[in-house]
Amino acid sequence: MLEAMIAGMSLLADPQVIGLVLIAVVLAQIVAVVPGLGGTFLLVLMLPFAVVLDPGPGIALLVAAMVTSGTGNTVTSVFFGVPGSGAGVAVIFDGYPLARQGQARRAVSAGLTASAVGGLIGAMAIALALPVVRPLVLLLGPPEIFVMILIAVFFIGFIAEAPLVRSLVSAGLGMLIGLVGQEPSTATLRFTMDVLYLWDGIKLVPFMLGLFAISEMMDLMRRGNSLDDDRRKKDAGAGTRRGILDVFRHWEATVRSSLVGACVGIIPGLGSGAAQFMGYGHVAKALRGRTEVEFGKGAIEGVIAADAPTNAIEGGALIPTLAFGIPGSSSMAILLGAFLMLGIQPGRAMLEGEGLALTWMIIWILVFANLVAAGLVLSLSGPLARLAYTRNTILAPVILCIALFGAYVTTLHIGDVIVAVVVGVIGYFMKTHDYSRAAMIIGFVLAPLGERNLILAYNIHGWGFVTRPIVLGLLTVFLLSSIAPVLLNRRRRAGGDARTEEADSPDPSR
Amino acid sequence: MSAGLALLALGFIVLAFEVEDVARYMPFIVGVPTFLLASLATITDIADRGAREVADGEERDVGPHALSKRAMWGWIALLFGMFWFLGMVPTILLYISGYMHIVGRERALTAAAVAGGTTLVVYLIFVKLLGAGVYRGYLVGELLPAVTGG
Repeated sequence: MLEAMIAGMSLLADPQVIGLVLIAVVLAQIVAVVPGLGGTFLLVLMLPFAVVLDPGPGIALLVAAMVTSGTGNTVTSVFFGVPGSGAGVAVIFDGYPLARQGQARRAVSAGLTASAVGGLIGAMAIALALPVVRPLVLLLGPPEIFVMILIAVFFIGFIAEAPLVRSLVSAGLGMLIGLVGQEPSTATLRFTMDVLYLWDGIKLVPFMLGLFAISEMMDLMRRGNSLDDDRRKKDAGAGTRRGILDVFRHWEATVRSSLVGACVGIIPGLGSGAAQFMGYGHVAKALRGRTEVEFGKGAIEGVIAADAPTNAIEGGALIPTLAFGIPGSSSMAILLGAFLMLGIQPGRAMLEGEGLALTWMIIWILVFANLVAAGLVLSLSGPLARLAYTRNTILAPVILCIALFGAYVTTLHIGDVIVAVVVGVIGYFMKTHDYSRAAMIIGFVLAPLGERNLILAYNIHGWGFVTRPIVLGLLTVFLLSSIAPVLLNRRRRAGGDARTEEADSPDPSR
Repeated sequence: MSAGLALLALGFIVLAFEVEDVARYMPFIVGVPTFLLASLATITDIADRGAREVADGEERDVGPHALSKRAMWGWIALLFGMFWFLGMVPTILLYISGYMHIVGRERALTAAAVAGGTTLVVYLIFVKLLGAGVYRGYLVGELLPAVTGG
């Protein structure tokens, strides 16, 4: 393990890798402060360029962008009450009131420091989890992995941003689209409609660019520029040092919400927005009555609790991605896709030999990139805040052009541009009709992995693979955990109805 | 929308019958529940028609310089058409400056500066530094050589 740690560190020490990490961190902060964009969006734009690099630098570029994309959100959330993405919403609850009280700099520095510390705790979580996860992974064969993939897709439906049925439809269609092309064991052509371009399947990069970048820009075109023209920069005040110290003074809030973030990351589909709310909710409940200012009215603990999970989640989310090949979010799905394109197979290979060194490089990047991002945003919070005002009429055409260019450079085929535009149109309709694009991308990435494991399981065990003990255990846990909330809800509702009837009935004692 | 997705899932299932057994396992395992769920969503949509169209109706919040649905489709079609016909570099220059000037009512100089800057950044970072390829377009790549015989 120690050897792998050192090997991972030496991979990071490569000047090209460090340079790419710095570029990714800077770009991530720019994207983070522009409302409507986010980490997933940046990863999608970077992917075509990362996959032409060597595995180490390619992964470094993407991981650094991904783990620090939540950092810059704090600036706009605190200064203007405008989140850069869903991961910046909970910061507004206490950050914006603090800014109105003239303590914006304190809130921003507390938030940034908390998110850096959270990132470090997330990195520690993955480092500590590796020895535990490793034997577990070695126990799992193709049948178990296939069932886990199906369960993961189902749970994504439960917790994605859209209603359950719509999220499951999105994930299912994503999987079906991911199956276009040659079937892996027999090389049978499937769903290609005699189009030569489709023989290799639909490429991940144009698919994602269409689904996220193009559809998002189409929506921006329909929305026009922001209505809120009288936003003014609030008095920033002083207190940078105080904010940094607050994170350590209120260590309980920092540690609690970071751990919540890391744990949430392990569960597929929740994402940093949910992690923020869960971390904030947990700390608000735990510290109720023990803070100087009430939560929601400018409590510094609230800013810390909301910001610490944003980067901690990435460490947690890397555990299932690296160890099982199951992405916990749309950004992880993109990262997983990049791994496969770079010839890296997640799972056992990432926990042994060269793969383990790469895993440790990722952990070191979590640490390094988080510290750089916090320092950078802390020193540039003023200029970054100005980017939040970029007009949509500038943003939309620029991003659309870069997205089409990004789609083309993957394989230098005009077919990729057509795919990006068609998927962009589908993504736009999905967005406007409340279907989950995140669930679709996760389904798309998981489908080939799922099929490979299904065929292997079938070839080894026949259909009897579903009766293997671990598979049965997984299915039982899955059934219980999906049915239990429905039954509990029904019971609670029935109890509520009974109480209402009781209250409505005339009191015989009167 | 839901009906369209149900049809799409059904299309995948029907097409899966054309391939041999092993190749249709996964499409069936995923496709059948997806079709059923999409059908359920269609029924729900019909039951509360219109309620699901979250942000695409006239009631959505729109700011200055917002495009109508038709104009938005027009601009997307124009982008794809320009990219295919003119190639990457002229498209970035013309599309960004055109959109900013016509839709965003930006001054011609500002629009040209942003378009020029973006083209330069894309060219320097992605093409020169990262070695990404440039699409030359139908006009320069195929039509002109065919016309001039070169």
